[in-house]
Amino acid sequence: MVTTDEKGPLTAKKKSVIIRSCDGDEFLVSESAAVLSTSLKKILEEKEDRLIHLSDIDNKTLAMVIAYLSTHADDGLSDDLKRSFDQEFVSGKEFDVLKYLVLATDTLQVTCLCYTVAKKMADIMKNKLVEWVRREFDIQNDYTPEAEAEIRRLDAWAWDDRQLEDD
Amino acid sequence: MMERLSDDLLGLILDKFDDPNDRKSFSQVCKDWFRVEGLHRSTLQVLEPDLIPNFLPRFPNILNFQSSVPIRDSLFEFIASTCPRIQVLNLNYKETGDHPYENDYGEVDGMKDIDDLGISAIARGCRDLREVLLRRRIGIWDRGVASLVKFAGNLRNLDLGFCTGVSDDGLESIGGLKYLEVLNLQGCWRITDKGLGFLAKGSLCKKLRILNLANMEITDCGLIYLKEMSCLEELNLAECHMVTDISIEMVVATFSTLKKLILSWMFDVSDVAVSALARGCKNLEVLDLSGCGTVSATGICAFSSHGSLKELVWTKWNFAITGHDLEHLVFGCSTLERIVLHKNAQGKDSYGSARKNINAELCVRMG
Repeated sequence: MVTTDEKGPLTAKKKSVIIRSCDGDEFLVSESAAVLSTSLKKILEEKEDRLIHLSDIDNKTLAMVIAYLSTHADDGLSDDLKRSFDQEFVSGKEFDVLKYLVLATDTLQVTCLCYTVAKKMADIMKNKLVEWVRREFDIQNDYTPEAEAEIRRLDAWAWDDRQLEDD
Repeated sequence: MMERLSDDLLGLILDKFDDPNDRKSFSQVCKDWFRVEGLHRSTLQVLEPDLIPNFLPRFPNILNFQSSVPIRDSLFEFIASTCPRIQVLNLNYKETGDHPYENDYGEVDGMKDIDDLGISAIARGCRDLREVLLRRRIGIWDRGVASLVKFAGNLRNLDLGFCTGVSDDGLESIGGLKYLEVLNLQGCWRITDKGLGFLAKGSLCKKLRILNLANMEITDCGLIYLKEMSCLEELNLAECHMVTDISIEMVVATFSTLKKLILSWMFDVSDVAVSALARGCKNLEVLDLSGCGTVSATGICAFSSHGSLKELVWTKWNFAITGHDLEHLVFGCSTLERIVLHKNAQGKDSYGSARKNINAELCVRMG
């Protein structure tokens, strides 16, 4: 129900939605922030309900994503400030936290943040041992020793080359 | 336990890796990551072409395929069907200085390198080719070029340097490319003036920005056809010994869009041509006159009132530029950043004072 107050028609723009995480906490978010997520925008277009339940995003992660969305929905902030917020946002975060963030931004389709987080993850993964990556992603090594050797051999024949731009 | 990252997410992370070693580690994590790495590989440099049937199927989304070694012609059908998205095919032969082939039939160690059939297979299979670089692949003749042009209408960049099988007929096909911006025909000695005429009649005339005609057997008559090339920015005529002042003055000096011009080792280019260039090519930034025997300081000094020249290369034994001329040039032409002169030029003592007074870098090439 839309209530009228002294601001009149402006209230329509200031509508809020409630987003509930998988552990049950609820967050009040302005609609202008929520629609920066393509998935939330679609949900809001399809139903009247102002309560959205996200069954696969936890409290901590959701709070971070909402902080991001609210900052980016703030028209008072310049693009430069938003960019430096983005950098600040991912810096110093544990790899584990980034992993949940990248999944959440993928689910919610917040493309910009998804890219920023993926970049940060890649930066951390660079020069890390294969064993480290397996541990962090909880992945079992499903290679036989022979298969692993074969991959190393194949990579010696064909490799990725990024020097093309200079040509 | 956390949800697995989707292929797309893994690909997103993977695309941020610049170092091939990181990608290698990535594919060693598990079989699934190995598969994802293959799907997300966009650039491939092939070092051992005989193993292409083994490893190529893993990389169906390659956009940029390069190899500088001979590739058996019969493999190209397979390459085209396995990697239909290839946009850049860089087969420029490695520059060793020596002629790469053992005989004139495009065979190396008795193996047939890419020829007209191979390039035709690629053109039919990969329908979005943007760059095709075939430098020194002498198995490419006019039929291959015709087939390439027929299927690869989007070509932006074509390098046929030293593809000595290509002749005027090949150029007639190339003329039909609507979007071609860069064309390299260096050392294609079979191409004559007639070929340039075909080229100039074609639709590429209004698009071509960079044209390399170095070491070609063309004359003034051929160059005059190029008058229609209204947006040429770079032209290389190095060692085109039969091109003289006449066409430089009549054609090249009318290219107001020209930024880079290489006239090195053209023996019949004199001050007349250079003065005409200084007047006509208002936007010229780089002029290379190395070895142009008949160009003197008079010609060079015509650039003293030029408004955009940044780099001038003029290395030659028998003429000299005096310190006075040099000062006149660099004070007049304020855009100059770099001048390359020969050590043997006379009056080198006075270079010292010129050097002190100019901002430009003065390189005196060691004899």
